[in-house]
Amino acid sequence: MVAAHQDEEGFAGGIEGLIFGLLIFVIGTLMVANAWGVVDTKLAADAAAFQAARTYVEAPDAAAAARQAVAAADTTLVGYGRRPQDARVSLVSGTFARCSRITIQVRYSAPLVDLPFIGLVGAAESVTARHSELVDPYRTGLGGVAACP
Amino acid sequence: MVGTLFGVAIFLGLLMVAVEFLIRLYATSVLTSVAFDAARSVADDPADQAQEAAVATTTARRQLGAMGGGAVFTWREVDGQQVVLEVQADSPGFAPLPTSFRRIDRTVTVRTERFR
Repeated sequence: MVAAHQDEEGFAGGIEGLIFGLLIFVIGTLMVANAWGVVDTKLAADAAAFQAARTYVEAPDAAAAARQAVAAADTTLVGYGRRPQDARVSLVSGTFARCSRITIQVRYSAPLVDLPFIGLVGAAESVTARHSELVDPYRTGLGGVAACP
Repeated sequence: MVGTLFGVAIFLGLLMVAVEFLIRLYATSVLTSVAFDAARSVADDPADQAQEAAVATTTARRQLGAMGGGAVFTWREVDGQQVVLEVQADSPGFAPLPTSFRRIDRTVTVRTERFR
């Protein structure tokens, strides 16, 4: 007597939907989200560097310039949904003097992945953006003479 | 038959969630950039910021396309110091998720460009 249901006749499948769905959509989506997180972080760092540089050259004095530039960068990063405490804002060249070209650098660790409803998770590549501005040679509030090239 | 339907349902479900997920990331970046552009255009024109805010809002809605129709622009602060703009919009929906899950809220701050 032959036992019933020994072969695979009638088997339609379905479990592969889970496997391919997991491989293609979940892992693939996370990879794309990681890449997008880096791009979005670059946009945020770029905007923060721009605002910081503009604030720096328009500040009333050198001490206020450094302080206000960092505050401007932090505010911009918050606007992009980033954590300001993870950013490093620094003046990489120039001084607070007439006609001096200053460059502000913003460095931020891009998240491993930016998940909707959950937020930024992990840390991946470090993203750097720089913006350069010229301190107005004719501005008020600064001593000395302009030494523009 | 049941297994096949189950597999197709899982496949399509994951596909929709993945599309929703990626489109939301894109929509968030676009919304933030548009908000910054709008705030910056107002900050660059301190002479008539009220009129410029209206123009910037119209321009931003156009740039957002279909998403801009339901977007809410709230100018929190427009003065000689800074421009603060809050934008709320819903990202395009593909998966059957609640509307609150698609809500994007961004607040941008830009310093006003003027002689100091």
